[in-house]
Amino acid sequence: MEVLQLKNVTLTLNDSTILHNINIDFWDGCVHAVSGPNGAGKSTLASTIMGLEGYREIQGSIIYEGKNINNLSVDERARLGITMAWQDPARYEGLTIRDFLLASSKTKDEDIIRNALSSLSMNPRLYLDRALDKTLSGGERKKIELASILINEARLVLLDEPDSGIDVESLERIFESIRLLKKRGTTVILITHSLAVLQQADHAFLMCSGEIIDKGKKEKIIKYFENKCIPCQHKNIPDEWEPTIGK
Amino acid sequence: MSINHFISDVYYVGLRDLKHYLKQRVRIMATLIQPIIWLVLIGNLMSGLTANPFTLRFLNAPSYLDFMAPGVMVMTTLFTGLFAGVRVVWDRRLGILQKMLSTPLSRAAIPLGKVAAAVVQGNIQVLIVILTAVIMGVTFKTGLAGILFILIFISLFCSIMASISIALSVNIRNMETFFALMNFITMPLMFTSNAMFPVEAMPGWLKLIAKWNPISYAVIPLRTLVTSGWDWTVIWQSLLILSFFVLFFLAAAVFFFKRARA
Repeated sequence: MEVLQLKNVTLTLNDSTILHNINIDFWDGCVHAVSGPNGAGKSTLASTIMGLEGYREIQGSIIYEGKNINNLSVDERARLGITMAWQDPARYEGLTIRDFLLASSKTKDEDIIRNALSSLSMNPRLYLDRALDKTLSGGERKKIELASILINEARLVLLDEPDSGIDVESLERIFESIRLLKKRGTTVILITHSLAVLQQADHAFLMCSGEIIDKGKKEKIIKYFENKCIPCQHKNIPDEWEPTIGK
Repeated sequence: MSINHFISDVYYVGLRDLKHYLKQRVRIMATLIQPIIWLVLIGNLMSGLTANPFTLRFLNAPSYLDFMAPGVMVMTTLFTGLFAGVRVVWDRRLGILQKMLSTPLSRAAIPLGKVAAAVVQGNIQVLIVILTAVIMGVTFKTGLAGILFILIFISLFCSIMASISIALSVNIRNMETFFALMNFITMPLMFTSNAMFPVEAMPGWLKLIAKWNPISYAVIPLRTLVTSGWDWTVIWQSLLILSFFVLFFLAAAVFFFKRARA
């Protein structure tokens, strides 16, 4: 069953059309990946689904659990169970990791917070009282944001580049978290241009120049990557460019 | 959402703003030194000019410093409160606001937490003003208990000003606009009130403005507590009026914050 449907979604920012007539269905409890090269519009798509400021004036409709959510604000969408982990996690200067995770949690249960940190190979004893500021690396902040996603029991999770800034060892932990989310029945949308992340998905969509140019099983989309994404023609590159691969 | 969870959300938002404030040493120094400058420079200057029976009659206080100290307390709070909205503008620019909104954190807890942080800041600053005033020879007629009441009035007034600031800041996208707007509000408010000058010495039209100026409602009970003593009629009246405005403006801040674009 579809949990989220995008029907003819077009987004124009500053007279430039960023998303062109997007039609996608996301299935309940599945892990989806939206892939494509830089500038394809993947993160814009995530921001549009989340309803972030500047991304709500769309044409078409976003249907979540059968209801049109076009006019709902970020927090209204969050209350419906949609949440997002950003590519660049915020520094909540002033809060400790414990404070931040408790603030992000519905239950305010510290045991759940400890479990979430542990599942991301972060020792709660070492991390809970640390400040969520520049003393943490980008990768650590990323994992803490993922921990906040794990504890807030969302129905639909958007993970924008979940592997950015993450070391190889921690990457497997992040993939385990994605599998954990799936086991819980959460619908996951991975925004990625990484093959390793794409491998975690059940279904994948290939985006290029703001359009969905293909969709299907991940194996099919992975092939595009292996062929350097040539089929999408890279509409956003200069005319004089000619692909040399395969000639 | 249970009330405990809501209070906890308010606490985390307030705590974050407060810790951020405490980290800004230069800002703390500036906000603490400014009222001291008012008391030491303007207070001493005006004390010389007003040290005669004719003007003291207008002041209804032992000296201009005694008259001015409550005004400086309210002015300090006015600035602290009105600049509470800067954190909303800043959080939006850094993308933190949108991230906060995409969590289960209550949306109403964000403005309320920010107001709470401003109230704590306001009280810290006013305590410094009180200490400076005492060192300079201002006598508090109602003693320590009176100071506690002063802090209650300061908390109420700071809540009003911070709520106004947050309600105004929700749709402001850049710092320049925010600061221009706040400066536009603070100066006329300050100079058309009874904070620095006695209403009795004002021309009729200014008297009328001062009478309706919200600053005057905060200055009157403070001045009563410092220079006159326990006048319960003034204290209760002021508590009621300020409490009403607190509820009204807090509700307005939450309303506008909820209605605002992310």
